[in-house]
Amino acid sequence: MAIDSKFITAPIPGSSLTGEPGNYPWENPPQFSKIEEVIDFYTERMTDDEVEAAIVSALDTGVSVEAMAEQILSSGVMNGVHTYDISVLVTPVINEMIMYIGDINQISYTESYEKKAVEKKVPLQFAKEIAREISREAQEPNAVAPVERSGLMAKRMMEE
Amino acid sequence: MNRYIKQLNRIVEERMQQAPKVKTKGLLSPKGSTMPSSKSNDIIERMANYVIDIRKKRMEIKNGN
Repeated sequence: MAIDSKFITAPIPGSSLTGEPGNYPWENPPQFSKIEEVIDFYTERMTDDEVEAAIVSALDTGVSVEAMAEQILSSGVMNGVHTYDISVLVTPVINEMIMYIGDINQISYTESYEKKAVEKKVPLQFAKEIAREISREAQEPNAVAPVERSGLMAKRMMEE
Repeated sequence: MNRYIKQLNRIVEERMQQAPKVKTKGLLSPKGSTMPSSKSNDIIERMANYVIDIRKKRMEIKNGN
């Protein structure tokens, strides 16, 4: 019987509880506990030239705004800057900030992958209308009558 | 989270559609400028105000101002 290698290397359930509490940044009190402080922190970070350039290049390659905001905020939680609760509350503001940076640099960006997938789909009503128009056109008699050609090289028509 | 974002978007859209307030002149006019992201007890209102601030700036950029 083959055993999945991931199963062997995975931690034993409850192993995180055996370590010393407070070993990781997210196990300690966060750096900022107020929303205003967190927003100020990210505003400062994102207006930095290097960070802005990184955001612009990521947007240009097609990374969605939502995914990027999620990454930024989860790294903030992992580094002990703020709690996960605050990251949920701040998400829309970070989304807007990223879009603002995209607008300043005149980049076309994807807001979210879900929205993009919805946009790609043709609405059912619209598809039905197109199908109806095509069937109507097929039923209508052709306005241009076929030109009869005469001569030796003319294509022979089938006799009815 | 989705519920929060939906509620926030609804508030933001409502506020964005509202006509801007006419400035009053005189003794009783409010002094100083008040930013939309001023303090409010409701957390969604506060976040909506932040979003509106940034969105207005985005609209200005899009309109070429």
